[in-house]
Amino acid sequence: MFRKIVWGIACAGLLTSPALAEDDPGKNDYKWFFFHKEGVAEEVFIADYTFCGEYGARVQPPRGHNVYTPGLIQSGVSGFLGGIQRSSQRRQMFRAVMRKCMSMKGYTRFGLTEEEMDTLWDGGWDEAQGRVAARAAEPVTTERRADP
Amino acid sequence: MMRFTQRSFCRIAALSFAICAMTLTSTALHAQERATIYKPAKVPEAAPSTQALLWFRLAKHSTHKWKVDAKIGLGVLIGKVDVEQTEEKEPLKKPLWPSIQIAPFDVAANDFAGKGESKKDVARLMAKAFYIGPKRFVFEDEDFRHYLVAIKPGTYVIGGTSSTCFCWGSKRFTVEAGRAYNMGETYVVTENGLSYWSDYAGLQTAEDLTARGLVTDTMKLEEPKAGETAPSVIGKFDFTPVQYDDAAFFGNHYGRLVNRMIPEGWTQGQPLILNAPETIVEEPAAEAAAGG
Repeated sequence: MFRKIVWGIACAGLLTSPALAEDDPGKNDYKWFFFHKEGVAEEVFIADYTFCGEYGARVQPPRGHNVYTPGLIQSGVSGFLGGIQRSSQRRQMFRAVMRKCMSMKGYTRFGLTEEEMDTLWDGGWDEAQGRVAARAAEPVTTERRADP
Repeated sequence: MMRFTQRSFCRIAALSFAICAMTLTSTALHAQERATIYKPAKVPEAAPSTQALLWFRLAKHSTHKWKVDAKIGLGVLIGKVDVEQTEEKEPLKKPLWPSIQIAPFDVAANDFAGKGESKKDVARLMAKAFYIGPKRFVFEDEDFRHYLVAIKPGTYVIGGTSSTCFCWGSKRFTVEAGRAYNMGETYVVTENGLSYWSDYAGLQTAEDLTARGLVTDTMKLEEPKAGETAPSVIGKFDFTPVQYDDAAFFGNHYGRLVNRMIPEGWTQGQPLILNAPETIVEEPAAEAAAGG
């Protein structure tokens, strides 16, 4: 019986997974993107990005109600899953603040593929800032303009 | 074995009394720091001598919501339901009324009093931010809910709403004890195209953020004008129009989404712009230097 339930959930997961969904090139633009303002100086971009990032870093998703869970293991599992959910919410709130802030500073946003995003951000902010700033300043080669 | 003497009993009693007294004093002090938001039946006869009395008008927020189309598929087995917002609006059973946060403000530090840059100088007890609305109003008309609030004299900032900090551009004001102030009209707008006020209905967050519930609020403040009359229930006070000043680029201490108020001169269809922080941060520093 337990095996059937596990298989059922796995199949449902597969059927609803993005891999089987209709291929929409813009579906991941909410997480893979770059900001653009043609001709922006590198130091201006870095200052703007850092300013917005500092505000974004302070976001905290609202805390839900604590659900009573008897037993140490159950509470541990419930806390762990809650933590994963909160961390995902926090990432989304961070992106929302960054997008709002950069758009209010006059930047537009364009979607990227996962590979392009990985290449652009290779090495983290310290190594990538020059590359990201250059990408922001150069003329856009993609048509996939995303919402601010 | 330790003997329980009359002397030890007296010591324990004295200690208990001291703890109780300390707790009560602290609670009483704390109560003084807090704002009083009056109910209609509790409106005072005269402005309290140690506090300032503020008359806020919060405009109606919205009367409609977007109709949503829930697509229930197999995903429901793993708790995943696709909800799509339609282009259709449907009326709410009751209109929505907003709330705003008011926080003590440290002008020299350009931050909430007792938080961030101001943390070293001000006791945490002072840093009691509070919300006005949507309940405990003294009067409601077609478009506004009127609130009467008593607060300790000092400088305060409109901090934002429960979901959004107006950290990138807000207004601060200073009030004195024993006086009554007209705080003007505040129009809180959720950027989801549903504002009751058609001028602001065009302000909309991106669709994918709206779908994730990451919608920011903003606010238009119509500053008070001399000679405005309050409804009769609070009309016995002589309300002075409050003087607002700009406050911007303070900390997001409550971890909310971030936005700014709708600035003066903004017209429908324009995006909200974020100016360089340097241009506004200089102002409080210059004032502090002049004051000190």
